[in-house]
Amino acid sequence: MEVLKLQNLKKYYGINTNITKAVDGISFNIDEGEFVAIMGASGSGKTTLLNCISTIDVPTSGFITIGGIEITKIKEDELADFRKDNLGFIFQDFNLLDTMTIEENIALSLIVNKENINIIDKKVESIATKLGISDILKKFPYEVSGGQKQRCACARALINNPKMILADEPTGALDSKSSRMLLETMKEMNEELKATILMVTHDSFSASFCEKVLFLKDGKIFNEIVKGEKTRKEFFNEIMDMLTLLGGDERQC
Amino acid sequence: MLGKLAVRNVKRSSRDYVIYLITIIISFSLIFALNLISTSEEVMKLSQGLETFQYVMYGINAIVLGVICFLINYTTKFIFEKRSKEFGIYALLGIKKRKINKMFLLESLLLGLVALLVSMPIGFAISQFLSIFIVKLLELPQAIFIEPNLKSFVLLFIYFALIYLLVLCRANRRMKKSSIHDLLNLEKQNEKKITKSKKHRNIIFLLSITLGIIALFLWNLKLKPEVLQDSSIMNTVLICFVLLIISIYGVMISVGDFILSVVLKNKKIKYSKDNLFIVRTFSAKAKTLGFVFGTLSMLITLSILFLNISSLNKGAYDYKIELDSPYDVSVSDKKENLNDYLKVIKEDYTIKNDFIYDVYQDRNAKYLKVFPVYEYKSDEKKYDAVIKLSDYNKLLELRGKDKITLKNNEYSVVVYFKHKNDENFNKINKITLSNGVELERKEIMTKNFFPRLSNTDYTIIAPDEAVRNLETNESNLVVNTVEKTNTALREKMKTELKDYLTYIDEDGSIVNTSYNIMVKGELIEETNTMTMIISTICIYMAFIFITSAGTIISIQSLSDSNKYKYRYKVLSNLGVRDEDIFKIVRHQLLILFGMPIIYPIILNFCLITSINNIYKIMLDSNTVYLSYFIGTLVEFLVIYAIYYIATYFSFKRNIKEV
Repeated sequence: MEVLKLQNLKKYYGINTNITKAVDGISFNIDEGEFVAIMGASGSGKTTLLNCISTIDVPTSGFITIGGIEITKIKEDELADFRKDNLGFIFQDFNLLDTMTIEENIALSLIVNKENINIIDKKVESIATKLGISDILKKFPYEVSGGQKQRCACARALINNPKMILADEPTGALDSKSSRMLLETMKEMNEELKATILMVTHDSFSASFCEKVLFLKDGKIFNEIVKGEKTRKEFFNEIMDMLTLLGGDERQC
Repeated sequence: MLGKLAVRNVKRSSRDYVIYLITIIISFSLIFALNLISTSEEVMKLSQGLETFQYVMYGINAIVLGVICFLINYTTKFIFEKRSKEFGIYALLGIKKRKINKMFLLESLLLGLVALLVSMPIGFAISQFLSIFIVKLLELPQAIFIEPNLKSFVLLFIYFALIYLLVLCRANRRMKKSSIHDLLNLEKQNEKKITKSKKHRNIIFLLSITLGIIALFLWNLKLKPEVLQDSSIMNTVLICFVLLIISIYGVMISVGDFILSVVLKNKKIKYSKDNLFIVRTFSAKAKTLGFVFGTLSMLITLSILFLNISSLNKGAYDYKIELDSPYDVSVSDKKENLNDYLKVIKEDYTIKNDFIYDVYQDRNAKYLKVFPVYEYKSDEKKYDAVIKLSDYNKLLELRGKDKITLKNNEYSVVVYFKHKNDENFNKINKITLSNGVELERKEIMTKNFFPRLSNTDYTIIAPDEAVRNLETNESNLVVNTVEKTNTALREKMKTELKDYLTYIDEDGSIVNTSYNIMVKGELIEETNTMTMIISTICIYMAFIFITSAGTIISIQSLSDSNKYKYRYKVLSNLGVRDEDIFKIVRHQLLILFGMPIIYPIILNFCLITSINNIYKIMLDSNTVYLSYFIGTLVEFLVIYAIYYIATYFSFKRNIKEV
């Protein structure tokens, strides 16, 4: 069953003759339980595309359907409810509130929704255990490492059981060890918790953890490859070859 | 829950909120203090003219209200930008923007209310200080206590409601207009440039300077002493101010690029010392903050202008008192009567010193003849007043001034400085007194002249020998008392010495000559109303403007300090010593603080020079205004420096903390 459906999505910036076509007619589907990466060089329109999908930005034209709901037609106020019920977010720079402990950050959306306190505690506890951050729950974001912060962000994204998790360069601010740990966590989220994840990245190592990779160039889909039965290493090499074709990223593993 | 979150966030960013709170508290305190004074009955009793003062005050409050609106709006915007990321995350997590908005507005309003409450006692204290200031200014015998009254509270609440209605509407629109994406990234964004092309900026710069010159020229052309009767002056003043405002904004927007283009063209300047670094910082600031700097410059221009007008006015006031009544009491009458006056004064006052001198008549009246009034004077009044050198020196001594000297064949004239440039008057350099003594003129003095010296516009000072055998006209008594004199003294003299002060003229009507008595205390009470109105208003406005400018610039630099934290950390990691970093910070802040004051100082110098055209007739000399200008500049810079130092220390703390 498809969770996300994009039809001829366009997003233009600028006025008159000076128009930037950040997203220029993109269409694709993501099914439930898929883990998809969007790759491309800087300026290829990855983040803009993600922002449109995450309802942070408004597309110029085209349709976005999430879980059967056409989001381009939802009003501003209803969008807030929609995001709350359907979407989880992970950002490159974490976007945690440093005035709150890790625990409170994770629980924020539940607290805001005025859930029962016992239920909140239980949910936070279980998700923190799964992501391996249960011992830092009482700490503040500035007291923990980048990798831990990002896992906290994952927990926050997961806690509402959203239909889809949107991740924007989640490993961008992490070292290679933390990156690997985070990606493995996300893979587990995908496999065990059945979370549908759409990740934007320019790092082929990160992309090799996904099942499907979409390549963007100049606002259009350039190609799409699927992991299938390949090992992660083989898939990584395939991504690298594709990037060479696109003209970017050096080989590393 | 959202409320709880907000409280915690406020706690965490309390330093920013402290700036915010202080701004509002100061603003409302000042408004409240002025309300108290302008509605105080005690102050109103000082003089009848103060009713006008009240109405003027309402008008002034309207202007101040505008400035404070701008200020609070600016700080609210600053806080909004600080917390935008937090709001963005809330929105992402599915909280409705309307709800976030409501929270922010409620928070601002609550803070405003707290500030309002705190500002009441502070405002009350300020009003007492202001009343001390007024008492000092007017040399009143006793202090005035300003009582809190209902009217001022009501006014304060109305102003508060007005300001917050406007500010919250703006905040509401700001929130509505920004998308989540904007909110999340607002902190990282630079402010927008106002014009894009560098060429345009140079044109704007030159154009603005030209406009400024035109305005100053027009201002100078129109500000002549005759202008006081001319009602069209208001239009000119208005046009000048509009031109100046445009000019100030234009200059502040474009000056950075202009200087940059000049410096970049000249390699010698470019690479000497740290010019390049300074100019780059300077133009970067000017480019992005042109509008804010324009506003700052305007506030500063106005505050210096108002301070100057205030001191010019005070100068004119002091001069008038000194001119009209240099001694506490002076009386003109027949010599034998004068001791009786002294007796009356002694009943209530302790005499510090007293002196009686004669005024002699030179019937040749060579000087009087050059004045047109000569024709109309009756024969018995056609004479030049002469005073003995020793008497004059004694008078000078009583005022604490230096004595003058004359040779036996010389005389000097003290004259009201208006006549100093009278050609016919200056031509006379030799006189023959009516007793046949010939004298040559030594000098014409305008200094230390006062009309009551001999009750004319000029007095001849002659050696003691030379006045022998001249008729005396009248005698004068001057008295200095230990206590301050007041109106009651004159009234008392009027009733007790009625016989001396009235006579019956040819028509049989009674003529009162009590104008022969001058009591300093009474004069002060009569003169002070206008002075007080103008001075208090000017000082108050200046204070509001300086505080606003200081606060805005302080907030601006402190918000920078958060952005600069990273840069300084990099510098520190690269091995730059802390002292050197602080030196850079000091320079940077100096540029930020210095930039908006240079143009206003130049403008003010020109403006004040023109205003002096009107004031000079009321002042000691034509150039005394320069000392006032420098004095007020120092006053301004001292307050400004306090802001600079306070900002520097918070900046330092901000970049040092992890």
